[in-house]
Amino acid sequence: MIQLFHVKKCYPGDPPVLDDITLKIDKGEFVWLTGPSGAGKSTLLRLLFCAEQPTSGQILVGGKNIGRLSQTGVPYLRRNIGVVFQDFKLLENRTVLENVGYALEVLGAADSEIRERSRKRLNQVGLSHKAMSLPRRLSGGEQQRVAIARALVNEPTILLADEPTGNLDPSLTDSILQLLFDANARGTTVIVATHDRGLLQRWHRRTIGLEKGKLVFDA
Amino acid sequence: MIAHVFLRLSRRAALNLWRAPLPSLVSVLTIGLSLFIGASFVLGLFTARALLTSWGAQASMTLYLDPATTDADGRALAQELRARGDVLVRYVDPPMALKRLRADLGELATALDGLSQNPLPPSVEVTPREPLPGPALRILAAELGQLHGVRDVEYGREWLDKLEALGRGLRAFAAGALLAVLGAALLVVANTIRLAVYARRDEIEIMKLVGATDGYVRAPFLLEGALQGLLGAGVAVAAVLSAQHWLLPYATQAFAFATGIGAPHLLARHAAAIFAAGGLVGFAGSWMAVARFLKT
Repeated sequence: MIQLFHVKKCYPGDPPVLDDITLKIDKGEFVWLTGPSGAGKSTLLRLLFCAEQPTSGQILVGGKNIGRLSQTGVPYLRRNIGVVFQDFKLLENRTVLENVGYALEVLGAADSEIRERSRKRLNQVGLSHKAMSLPRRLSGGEQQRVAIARALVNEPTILLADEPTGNLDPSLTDSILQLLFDANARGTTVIVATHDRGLLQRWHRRTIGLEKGKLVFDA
Repeated sequence: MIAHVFLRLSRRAALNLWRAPLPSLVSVLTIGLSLFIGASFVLGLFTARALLTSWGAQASMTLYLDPATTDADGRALAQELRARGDVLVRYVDPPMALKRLRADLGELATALDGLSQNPLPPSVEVTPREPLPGPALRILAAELGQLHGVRDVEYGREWLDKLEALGRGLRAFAAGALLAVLGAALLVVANTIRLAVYARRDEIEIMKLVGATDGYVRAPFLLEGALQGLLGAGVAVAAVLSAQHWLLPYATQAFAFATGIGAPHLLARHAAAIFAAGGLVGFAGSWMAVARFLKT
């Protein structure tokens, strides 16, 4: 499903952010990506959704070398990848329902289809009663649930989450992670970057460790 | 699918204009002012060209015949020219020419009394029925100069050269001025849209994150720019029509000396051209702004 071969990412004048990373993630897996700040977790995720290109090496997603993807091909790859960020990245001037439906809008879906599928996803994350609210009226945990609903509304095959609980109260962490486990149970490949070792100890899943850009363990 | 996406994007473009009324208003008014100035130049140019053509056509042409030409041959030539149908013709025999000269000289006419014989040749005066532009007038003069018995053709060549040079100068000035004002409008739109793009950079980031193509990201901004351009064109057309309404009576008086040339009028095709130019300027300005942003 996802394969990396000797992937290296450098910025001029700095040591490599990622150095000779080779790994394979199968379809339907749930993987923790862990390591201290600056280990290269976020960069690895950014390479997977083509926000950046590797300096060298190959990245295959669904058998396609995304390092060679043209600029026009990137949007089509992203329609198959949901992304969740620590800072939610919601549009402040749009309602919760509109935020979730945004991912369907860019695909050219009809208004009725957008409404129906967005409501269904909001229902799954337990926020159907907040559909018409603006994001600033929601708590941090609720905002992250909206972001997860938006990432999943397209039914992507891959979900990438970069420190999804980093901004949240520990009491909200479990409910957010449960949504990611639910998506994984429905067949979505999920990769979660976190530096919180407590999460890894509570939920035992495959864990890939990075340190100073190198892969230090895969267990 | 394309229709509802277009409707959705258009709705968003209109909403975006509504949400940022001040920059949009500045853009619309700048485009309106630029197009008003441009349209005024062009209308003025059309009128000036018509005026110059009219003046060119009014200069009658004189065919001087060989002094040996008989009166019968001169009248036959005049008749032949009349048969063309496109010119007014008058034959002037030597006695008539001398009589005119005497009249023109007034008190000095006594100087002609010493002449032992009439030195003036017979001539044919030719005036085009329809206004002719300079080049056509030259062609006609050359053609008539080839006729049997015609020794010389006088049609105010220097005067015509000056009129044509004036016409060329006016055209170049109007084209330059038009380019300058439209260029200024383009930059204003580009800057307004650039600000709008910058203000909505988070939205663009999210659009791209969820798989929007560059075209989809660009479309609302292009529509917004085109809409600003069309609204600006509406302002320009309204301004030209108002100016026409208030100034036309004075303009008609001012142009009364030129027979057949009316005061400048904004026709439907001119208005359509202004709207097309407005839409194009808005669209191009937005394209410049968004292209630069999408590159970064």
